[in-house]
Amino acid sequence: MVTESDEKLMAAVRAGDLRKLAVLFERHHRALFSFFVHMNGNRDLSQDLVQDVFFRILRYRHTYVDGRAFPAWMYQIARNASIDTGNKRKGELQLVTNREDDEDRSAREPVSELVAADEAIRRRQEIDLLRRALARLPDEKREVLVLSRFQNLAYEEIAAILGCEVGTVKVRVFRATKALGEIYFELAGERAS
Amino acid sequence: MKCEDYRARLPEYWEGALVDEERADLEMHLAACAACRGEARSLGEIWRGLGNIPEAQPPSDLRRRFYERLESYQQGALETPPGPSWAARLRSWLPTHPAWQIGLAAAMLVVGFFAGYQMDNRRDAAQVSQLRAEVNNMRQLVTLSLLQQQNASERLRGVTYAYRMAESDTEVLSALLETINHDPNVNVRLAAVDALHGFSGSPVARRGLIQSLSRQESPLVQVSLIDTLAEMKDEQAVPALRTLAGDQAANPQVRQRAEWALGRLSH
Repeated sequence: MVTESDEKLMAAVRAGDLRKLAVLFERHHRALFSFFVHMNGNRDLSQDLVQDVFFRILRYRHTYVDGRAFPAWMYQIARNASIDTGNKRKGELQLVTNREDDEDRSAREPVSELVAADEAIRRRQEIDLLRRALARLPDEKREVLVLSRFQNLAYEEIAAILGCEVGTVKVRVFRATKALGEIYFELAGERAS
Repeated sequence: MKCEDYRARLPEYWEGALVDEERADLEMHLAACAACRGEARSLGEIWRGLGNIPEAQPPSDLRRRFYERLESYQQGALETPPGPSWAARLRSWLPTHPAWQIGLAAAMLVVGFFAGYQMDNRRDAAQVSQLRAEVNNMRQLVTLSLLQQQNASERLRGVTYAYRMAESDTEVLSALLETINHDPNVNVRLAAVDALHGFSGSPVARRGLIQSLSRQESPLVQVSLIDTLAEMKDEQAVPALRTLAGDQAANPQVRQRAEWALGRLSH
């Protein structure tokens, strides 16, 4: 089956073929959901936001410009949706531990030997610590890091989403990693002492 | 370049996104500068650690809620909003004299009573069929969207969704035929052939399967197609099967199977 590009599908949605939105939804809703969970730490809120983004896309479909990269446009809408609800629900940021997801992953990796079990525990602790460090990172730093590390977006796309130069994105990604590292090692030190 | 500039390149370095020249340049700097080397080592660990964080999986009803809303949005977009003069137009039809108003009210009551009596029997049936239509629309939408995905396992899910479709659904039928003829993944094509069993009453499906016989290159899919056609007992398949059975370039097992199917069809 020939797969249509995101941009072609979005042009069709704009022209009134609303069913094509379902294809875009199937392609992007997982990544979008994970983006929101990283940003607000709340699964219920993130689920609502994913819905919200796709219906904003419908409502503002006439503003989509031909040839514009769809993911960049979608994440821009996502950021606005996040800001709109984030302002309403400020201070609710909570840390999700995502036990289901963790178990999912460890179930896929054969942990048959004791050494491997030990390694799995160590890795889980590290993931836990990283999650806590991420949650402490200021929003704008966490955002640029999530977009580049988890959403598989090219720097050019991130630059389009954030409305800045590609060079700026690179510097910001590095600074966010550095800030994350500082928090991480601080947390690790607290635990060791 | 300053240390700061080199460090800004580290994330791309860890991702393997630097071109050879840039990479060599950066590695040379790291070899010479202990401060940058230390930073690259400790932050590289953080960067890799982030890759171990499992992706949050969306709850299962996220998809259901989306399709429900999309469906109702489409319906809302199709229905034209009532004109503003609607109430005014109705008012101009209604009598102004109290005696006529009472008469009209009484007449409406009688009409309403009979209509209600008649409707009561039909209403349930109408609601059920409307609900059924809505569920079918949603399934069709899910099937067609999944069949469009890049990922083969998603397309497989689309094919399994097709099993729940009514046989008369031509859009899903043509999407399945398209999948049989063009999907790059053999497993997806095989599953689509199986799904078409459910459409065996449709002449379009049978014609599609027959035409597909000459286009398939995978022996597995060919055998599956032959079996399906033999089961459907459609004599229109005979010429295509005969061609395949006599085709020296075809896989020997496929030719044998075509021969076998011809035997079954001629009974």
